[in-house]
Amino acid sequence: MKTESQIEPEILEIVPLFLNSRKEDLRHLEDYLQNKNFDEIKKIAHTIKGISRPYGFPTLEDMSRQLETQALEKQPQEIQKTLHEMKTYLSKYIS
Amino acid sequence: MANILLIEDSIEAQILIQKSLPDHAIEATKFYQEAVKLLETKQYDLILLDLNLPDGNGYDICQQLKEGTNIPRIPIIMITGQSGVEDRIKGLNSGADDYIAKPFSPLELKARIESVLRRGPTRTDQNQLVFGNLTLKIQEQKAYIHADSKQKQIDLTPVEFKILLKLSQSQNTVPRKDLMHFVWGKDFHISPRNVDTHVCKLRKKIEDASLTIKNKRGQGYFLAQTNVPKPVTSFERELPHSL
Repeated sequence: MKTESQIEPEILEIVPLFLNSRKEDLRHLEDYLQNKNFDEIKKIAHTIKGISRPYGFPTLEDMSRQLETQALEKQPQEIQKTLHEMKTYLSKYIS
Repeated sequence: MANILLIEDSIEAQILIQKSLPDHAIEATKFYQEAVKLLETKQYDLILLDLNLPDGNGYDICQQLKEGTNIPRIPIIMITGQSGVEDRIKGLNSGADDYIAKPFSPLELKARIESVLRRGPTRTDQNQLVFGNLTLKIQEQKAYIHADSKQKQIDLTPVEFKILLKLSQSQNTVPRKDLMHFVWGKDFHISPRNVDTHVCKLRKKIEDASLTIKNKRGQGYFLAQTNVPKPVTSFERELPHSL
């Protein structure tokens, strides 16, 4: 299992679970964007921001921080771009 | 090993924390109401608390622990995504003993837990004594019994509370003379029979507790574990007449 930064072996075991949940998140985020549900986007972004680094994905933390701000400021086009970046980034780790 | 209650809405954060702390027994919940029930019925050494819960707010739990009488005082570490200085101050002011902002390093989390646990039990011991299902709150001079998932206050007189406190602070049998000195002071003249009368009443009041007061003939009184509540006739038969 590959991560962006080095993490402890016991955490590495649960990275697949983390990545599967992000896959689900991306799907939900796209739905919420279509419905302009910025509150839910902010909530998901906030959760991802809080746990990405210990799971070995610091760049995802930066992206989700950006996403949280964009949701707070209700910027759909910016959110769209960030979601695309997230998808590209995660595709390197999700098989 | 410490018993830790983890109150955290993200399942992945729960798993991450559990994996990061293999040396501790961790019970996790994402719900505020469930956390309150667990705290009322089980003993924990530490609480790890997230602020945003599906059915409530972590600040409320802190406040309840600080002011409430139904939940024993337990050290709290807030683990939250709100990392601003104002958030930290609010968390500490609401009763948290420490505050960790997400994302956290598992090693830092371990170190902070050890730090809080080192100072936590001392402070708890100073303010509160717990014996089975009996809790004595020293500053408030109140006693509580856990029964049927509830904690009820025992209606004790100041003298009875002092007797119970003295007995609970001692590992050994407490001579009746020591009880008299502790409760009334050395200069106050009191008959030993008075001590027996107070102990008799006290014993009856704590009969739902998992311990009782026993008499060691010729030596004094001590607290003993018991899981079976004693009927009134039993303790009356055991009432000591002389030491």
